[in-house]
Amino acid sequence: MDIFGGIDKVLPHLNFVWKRHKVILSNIANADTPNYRAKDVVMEEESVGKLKITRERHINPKSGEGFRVVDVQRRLVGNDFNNVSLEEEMAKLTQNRVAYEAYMRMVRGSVDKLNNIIKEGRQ
Amino acid sequence: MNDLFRAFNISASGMYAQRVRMNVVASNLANYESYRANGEPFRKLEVVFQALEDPKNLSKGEVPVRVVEIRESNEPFKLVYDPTNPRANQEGYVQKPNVELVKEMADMITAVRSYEANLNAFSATREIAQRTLELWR
Amino acid sequence: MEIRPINLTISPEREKAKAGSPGFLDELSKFIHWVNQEQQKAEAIKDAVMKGADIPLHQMVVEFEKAGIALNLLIQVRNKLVEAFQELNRMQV
Repeated sequence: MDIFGGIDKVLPHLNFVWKRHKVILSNIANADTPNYRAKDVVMEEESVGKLKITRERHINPKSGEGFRVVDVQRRLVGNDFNNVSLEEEMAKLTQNRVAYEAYMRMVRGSVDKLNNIIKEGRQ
Repeated sequence: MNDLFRAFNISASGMYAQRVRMNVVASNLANYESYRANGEPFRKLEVVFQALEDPKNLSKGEVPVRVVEIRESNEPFKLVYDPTNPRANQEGYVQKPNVELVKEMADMITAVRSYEANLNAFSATREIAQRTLELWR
Repeated sequence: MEIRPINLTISPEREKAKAGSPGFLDELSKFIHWVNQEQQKAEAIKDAVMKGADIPLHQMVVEFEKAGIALNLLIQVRNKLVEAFQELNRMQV
């Protein structure tokens, strides 16, 4: 029975976006914490060649999820070694929100389609 | 649902931390000219934040912030030349509280901005939760 | 004119094919099994969430929806079977 293929494809993306959301929340909460490094979530294959993320902390090398949390190498903003840019985090927050909504609507679309097909438009 | 509540908690911890910071700034400003009973000037207060960055939290992407302590600053007192002041020392200098108005105001502005950012983030989390539950018709 | 009896025996090839291919009842029972599995998955997640497990909200919601769809499908299949049965009954032999 493979009718859920469409939905199952979107689920990992939802997982990714949700985790990213939590990381952004953490960055915003720690915008003024000394020595805190801003973090982000990257897809496992991507993290190898990205220029921006040069210093990685292998926080969960084999999470099995296809993505993980890394520190972001960025210009230092303050002299307390905190490199969180509040503006950037707020922008990412909004982007991420939209992505989440998009994926949710895909799932919703699949669910509605399936229900429609099953009920043949009746009831 | 703990996962969701922990997400709210991250932003809540940020809001709390900034509120504490705002209170501290307010105290410092209020005591800009204060002295202790023993004649010592008021020592400004500082907040110490700490990120709860243990491996478990990091793998989940959740790093709340914690207020470790509110401590007195070790920065030296200001010295102002004012020989007519009863508190003046032999060279005519008066010790004043180590509160810099400009720095405190800047801190206050940053604190308010960070507080609002956390509040915004909190709302975003709530919207996500609502959208998710909408799937259930 | 010779009347030859009709050969009603099934040829060996068809016999083999029939034995190998899944019957209707087989498919039906597999399907019911699958619906049951989806229901159980949803129940498991519900239990886990109530015990305080670490399941993201969106995952829980999606699994519930899937179980609901599976159940809908089962209900509609049942309806169709009932309809078919009733129609068979109405047929005049």
